[in-house]
Amino acid sequence: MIRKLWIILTVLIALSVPLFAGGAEESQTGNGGSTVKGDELYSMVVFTKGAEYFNWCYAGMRDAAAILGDHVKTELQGPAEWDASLEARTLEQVIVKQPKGILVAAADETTLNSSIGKALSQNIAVIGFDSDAPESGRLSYVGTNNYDFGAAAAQFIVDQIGGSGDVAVVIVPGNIAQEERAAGFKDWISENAPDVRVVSELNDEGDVAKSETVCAALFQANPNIKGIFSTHGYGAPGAAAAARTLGILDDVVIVGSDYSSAVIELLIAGDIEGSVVDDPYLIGFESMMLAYQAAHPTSVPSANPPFGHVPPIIYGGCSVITGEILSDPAVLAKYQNPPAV
Amino acid sequence: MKINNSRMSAIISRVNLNYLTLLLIMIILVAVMSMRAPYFLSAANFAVMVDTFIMEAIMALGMTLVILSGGIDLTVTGILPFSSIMLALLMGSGMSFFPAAIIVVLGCSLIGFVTNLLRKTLNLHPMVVTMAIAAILKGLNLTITGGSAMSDFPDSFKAMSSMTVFGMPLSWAVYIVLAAFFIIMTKFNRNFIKVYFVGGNPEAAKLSGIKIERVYMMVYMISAALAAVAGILTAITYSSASYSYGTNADMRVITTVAIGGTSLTHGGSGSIVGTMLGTLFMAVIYDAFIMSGLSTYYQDVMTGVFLIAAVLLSEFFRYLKEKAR
Repeated sequence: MIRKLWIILTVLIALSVPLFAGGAEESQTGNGGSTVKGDELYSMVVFTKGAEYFNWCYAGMRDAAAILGDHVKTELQGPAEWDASLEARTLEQVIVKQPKGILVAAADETTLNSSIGKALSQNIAVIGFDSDAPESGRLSYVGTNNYDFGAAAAQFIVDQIGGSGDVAVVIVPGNIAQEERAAGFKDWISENAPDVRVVSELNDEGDVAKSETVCAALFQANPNIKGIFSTHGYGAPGAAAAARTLGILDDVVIVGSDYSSAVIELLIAGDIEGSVVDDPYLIGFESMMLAYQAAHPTSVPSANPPFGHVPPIIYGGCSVITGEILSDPAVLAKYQNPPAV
Repeated sequence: MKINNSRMSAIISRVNLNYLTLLLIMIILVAVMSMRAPYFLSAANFAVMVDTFIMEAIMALGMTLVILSGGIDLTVTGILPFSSIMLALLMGSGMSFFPAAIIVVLGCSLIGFVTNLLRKTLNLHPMVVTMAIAAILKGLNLTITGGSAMSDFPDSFKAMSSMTVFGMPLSWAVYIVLAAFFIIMTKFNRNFIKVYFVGGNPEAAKLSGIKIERVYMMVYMISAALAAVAGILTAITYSSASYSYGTNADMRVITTVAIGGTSLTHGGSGSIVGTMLGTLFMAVIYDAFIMSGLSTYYQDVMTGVFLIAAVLLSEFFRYLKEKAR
């Protein structure tokens, strides 16, 4: 018994070392070192922390901070779970640190509203990115016009399936970005492709394994499915796995959203026909610049005093990447080197 | 200086070593963090620290009773969002807060009743039954909400998010009342004292005339009701209800209870006070990670390690006490 106790205490102490000594620290590492007097801290708060998409966003933020100067420090915070209440709690804790600005990707439209309001009332500039909380009072939103994003996916999938057949959408309901993508997808089809029917909406809870399960069930229940569009990054790999298991990879066109190492590999292999992508690196970069701008008012009149002038919305574009596009080594190099966070 | 064995035994049997260890680690952690992070010892951070773990704290009171009885309850992860959604639906239909909240709490305690009934009639391990009920609730939550957050509460309800009781947030006041109630009940009420007997040795408890199924029914209903209270308070805090609330809350709550010294391996050993300390410990740990900027991935590693350490320490202290007798 005493031996067991010593072993576990040794492990515990070894793992505690970073907490006490300052290692394994990912905050304030925008351009190295901890915050000292005169430094400005900017925090990025996300849900499903660890997602490659948010790592790209944070890489953009970090690089923007480096350009702004050594005094600008950054940190990435947020729960690993898709839980809006946990994200709100993290945001509250970040506010206590009194950063100059916070970049927030909201897990849902409303839960973070009061926390964002609290930050603003303490003169902390809040910029929304990727997933918006439009009623929160955030100063600006940087992201993608998700309706157009969905329309781009629809146009691509309709071309790929030859203009007729049944298709399905994979979505995590409640996330405003995905809801808009799904709406854009369905509207474009109903307006432009009369012979294509959206026969099913599947909720995979943003989980690749669940996506495989629900897609496998769909393919078996509905053998006429010719295409599937996932409104988020985990759905397409799950759909591809299901199609591979059932031996119907060549019969179904799979279109994903965003990019990750897994999606890139599947595009190169031809298991996924395309993925609609925005530029998370630039979204993070722009958001950081806007947060800094809002935290440092100039003589330009602002609609949100005491914060500096920032535009209410900045939309980046989107495009479809395919295996063919990735056959260019210069293009592939960008996607094959995800940033380390 | 050599302390003789009988004196050491007397000290060990009188002092709760679990509490002492927890307090000692917390004091070290707070001291280190106050040096590392300038805002750690601020009143604002203390308030946020308590706030961030208050829902788990409330659920941990019920979970302590379930674990003391020798069971486990994973339904809390489904009941928390379910109760917030039910509240939103009832209030959306025009019902005022108090009747709606009472219906939600009673309705959710009925889920606890059904959980226990299934455990008893199907003779299944509580982990299997509660996992199944949690999955059903998760599906229901998604079906009812369509995955969207519900925020169509009346203004009077939204105003409750800033309500204070004796200068403290509503959720703190609710927790203090509940914790005091369960401390008193587990010390003095026969029905609650029976939970220890049933958890320690169900066969012996049965032979001594205790209706053990009644005890199981009580603890599962209380646990479900407290998860409903946590869900209602979450809805009040964020003026919103969502299926995403409480994801993995079951694991955080069980970890809290275990760290507080309630034995996961032997029922009948543990206390509400220990759980309160465990809650404070977890709140400090979670806050320390955010304040120090450590990766949340590392936080999960530490939580797991603390859970194993808690179970081992609990067994070790049990061994010491038995040796001291």
